Amino acid sequence: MIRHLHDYIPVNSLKELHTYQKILDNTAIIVLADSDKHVLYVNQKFCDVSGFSRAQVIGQPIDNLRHEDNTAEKLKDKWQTLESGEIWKGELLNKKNNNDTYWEEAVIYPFKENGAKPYQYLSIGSDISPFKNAMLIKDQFLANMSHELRTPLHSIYSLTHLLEETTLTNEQNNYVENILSATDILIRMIEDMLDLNKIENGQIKFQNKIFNPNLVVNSLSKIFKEKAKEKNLEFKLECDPSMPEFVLGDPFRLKQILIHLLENAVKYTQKGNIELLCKLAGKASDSFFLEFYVKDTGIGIASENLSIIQEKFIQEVMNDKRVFMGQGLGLSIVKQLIELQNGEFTINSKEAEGTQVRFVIPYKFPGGNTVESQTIVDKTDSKTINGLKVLIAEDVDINQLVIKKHMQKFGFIAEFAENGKIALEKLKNGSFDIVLMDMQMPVMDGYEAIKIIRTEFPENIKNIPIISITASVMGEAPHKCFEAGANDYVPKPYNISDLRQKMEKWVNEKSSVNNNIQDIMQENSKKEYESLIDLEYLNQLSEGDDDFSISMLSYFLDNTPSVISEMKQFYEEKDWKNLRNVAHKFKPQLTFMGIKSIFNEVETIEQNAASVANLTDIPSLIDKSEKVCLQAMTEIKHELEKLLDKNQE
Amino acid sequence: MKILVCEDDFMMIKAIEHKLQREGYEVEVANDGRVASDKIRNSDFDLIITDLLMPFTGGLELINMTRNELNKTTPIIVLSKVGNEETIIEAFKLGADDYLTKPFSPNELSIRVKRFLLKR
Repeated sequence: MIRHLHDYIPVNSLKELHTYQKILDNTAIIVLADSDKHVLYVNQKFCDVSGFSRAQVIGQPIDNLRHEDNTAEKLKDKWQTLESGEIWKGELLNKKNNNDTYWEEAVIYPFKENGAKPYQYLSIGSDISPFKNAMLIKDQFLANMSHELRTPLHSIYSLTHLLEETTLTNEQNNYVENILSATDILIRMIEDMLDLNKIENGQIKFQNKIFNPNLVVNSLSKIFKEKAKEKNLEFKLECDPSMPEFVLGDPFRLKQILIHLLENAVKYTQKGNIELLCKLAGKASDSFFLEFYVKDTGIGIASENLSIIQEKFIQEVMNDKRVFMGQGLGLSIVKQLIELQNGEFTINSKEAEGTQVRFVIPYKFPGGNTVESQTIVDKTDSKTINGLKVLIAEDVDINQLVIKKHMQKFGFIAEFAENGKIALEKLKNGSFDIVLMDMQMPVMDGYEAIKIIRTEFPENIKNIPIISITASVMGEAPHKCFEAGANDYVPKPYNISDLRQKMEKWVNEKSSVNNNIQDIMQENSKKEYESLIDLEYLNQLSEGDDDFSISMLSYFLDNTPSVISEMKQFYEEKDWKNLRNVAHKFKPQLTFMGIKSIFNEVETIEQNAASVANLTDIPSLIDKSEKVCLQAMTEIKHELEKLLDKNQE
Repeated sequence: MKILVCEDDFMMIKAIEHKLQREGYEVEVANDGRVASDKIRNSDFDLIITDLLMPFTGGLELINMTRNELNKTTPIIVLSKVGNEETIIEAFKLGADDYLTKPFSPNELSIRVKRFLLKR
C-alpha cells in the first residue's frame, strides 16, 4: 500500500516511511484484507513466518490462512466484532506453507466510513509459537507432576489414617495428627495448582446437572459447624425459603467455591462467628440468580492485597509470594470459577474486622425434565452392605494393602488384580458386586478394561458398577473415565468415606435395578462344591504356623498369573526352553497347594516343550491349567481370608 | 548348627526353611548356584541341601566344587524330583551323601538332616 503513496509524498518523508516499514516488517506480521475478507497485502515478516510467498496468498480469502483447529465459533465471533466496527484482539492458529502451524497473537483494525461495512481490515500480529509451546510443555509437566505427587501422597495419607487407628501413645497420636493435617494442606495445594492451571488454559469444564442447591449448602454447613466448634466459633446458616429446590448447573463447582470460602473463614477467624447465607436474588427468563454470602469476623485482608486478588491475573497472583502464602490462591480460584459461570464476585474486608464475600451465580431452570441425578446427596442414612464382593484392579502393592484394610473395615471382601487383563479374567470367573479400577496399570490400563467389560461381557456382568480411581485429574481424565463407561470416579488420594459412599450408592442403584446378585452368588456357590485344592500337605508342613501358610498361599496367588501368562508368551514365541523351565518350576507350587487336577497337564507341557514334540497340544493344556488355576485361586483366597481373619482376632 | 539351602523356587525355600527353623537350625539360603558356590567357598556349614537344577551353577557342579576343588567334607543332601535316578547316581559319584525327592515329606527331611548332624 505504501507504494501507492509514492506520488503524493516528498522524498524525505518517504525515506522515513521506509524506515518505519523496515522496523514494522522486522517485528510484526501484517496482513491487509479487503471488504470481502480477501488478502490485499502481506508484509515480509508474514512471508518469513508462514513460508508463503505474496503471490500465493494475495487474493485468497483470509480465513484460508487460518488452521482448521480454530473453532468456527471463534472466527465467526471475530468477524462479528470487526463488522460492527470494533477492534478484535486474540490468538489465532495459522497455517504455514509446509503444512505446519504457528500461533499468532493479533490485533485487527477495521477501517470504516460512515457506518457502512468496513472497507478494509488491517491485522498486526506477532508469532507467539515459542511461548505457546512452552505453555504446552508446562501443562504436560504439571500433569505429570500431579500424577507423580499424588501417588506417594496417597500412600502417606492412607497409611497415616491406618496408623491413626492403631493403639498409640498420646505423643504418637499428636505426631500422627500433625502428619495428617500437613498432608491435607499439601493435597489442597496440589489441587489448587491443578485448578489454576486448568483455569488458565481454559480447560475447565462445567457440568450441567440438575441439583438441589439447598442440599449442597446443608451438607457443607454440617462439616463447617464442626470445624467452627473446634475453634469455639459460632456458625450460622441462613437458607432463605426463596431458594429454588432444583437448578441446572455444576454442583461440584459450587461446593468447591463454598469450601474454599468457608475454610478461609474458619482459618482466619480467632473469635466471633462465621455466617453462610443464601437466597434467590432474582429470576431471568430462563435462569435463577442465586446469591451467597460468606461472612467472618476474622483478621481480614489488607487493602493492598485485596486489590491484588480483585484485579490481577492469576499468573501475577502466583508471582506474588505474600498472597500465595496467604489466602490469595484460593480466592483467585473462587473468583475465576464464579466468573467463568457468568457469575459475579465481590469481596469486602477490613483488617481486624472481618471479611465478607458475596457472589451470585446464574443457574438455568431445570426445565420440564425429571430429576435425573444428583451428585451431592446426603448419604448418611444409606444402608450399609455387608459382605460386598469387590474386585480391585490396582498394581501398586502399597495401595493394595491400604485398600484391603479399608475394605475389611467396611466388611467388604476384596480381591485384587494387578492389571486390567487379570481383572477381566477374574471378573469373568468370579461373582463380584462392584469393581474399583485404577486407570493407570501395566499390560492393560483401566480405560481399555472398562470398555471391554461394557461391550464384550455377558449380560449379567456387563453392567456391574465400576468406580475408577485415577491420579491424573488434569484435563480430560475424569471425562475419559466416564467415556470409557465408568459409573463414577474417585481421585487419588481418595477420601475413604467418599469412596465408601460412592460404592454403596452404585451397589444400591444396581441392586434396585437388578435384584438377582444373590441368586447368582448362590448359583456360584453350588458350582464350587468340588474343591480343586487340597491343603493337607501345606498344613503338614506348617505345623500350625499360620504365618507360614499365609506366605505360601499369598505367594501362589501373586505368582500364578504371571506363570500362566509366561507360558502363553513362551509358547507364542516358540521359546521351548523357557516354556519347559516355567512348567517345571510350576509343579512344586501345584503340589504345595494340592492342585492335583492339572498336575499331569503341566507335566505334559514340560515334557512336550523339552522334547519339542506334540507342540500343538500345548495351547489347550495351558488353557485348562489357566481355568483350573483361576478357580483354585478363588478357593485359596477364601482360605487366606480365613487365616487372616483368625490372626486378626 | 548352620545349614545352607541351595534352591531357586520361592515356595520350596520357604517350606524347607520353615521346617528346619522349627527344628532349631540356623538356615542360610542361596537362590542360585553362583551365590551358593560363593557361600560354600567363604564360610563353613554343618550341612548343605541342594537342588540339582539352578541358574548359573547346577547342583552337580556345586558338589564337584565342594568335594574335589575345596576338599570340604560338609555333608550334602541332594533334592531331586522322582524318576531322576541317573542324575542322582551321578551326584553320589561326585560325593553327595543322601537325597530327598520333591515334594519332600517334612518328617523325612527332619530325620535325614538330624542323622547327619548327630554323626558330626
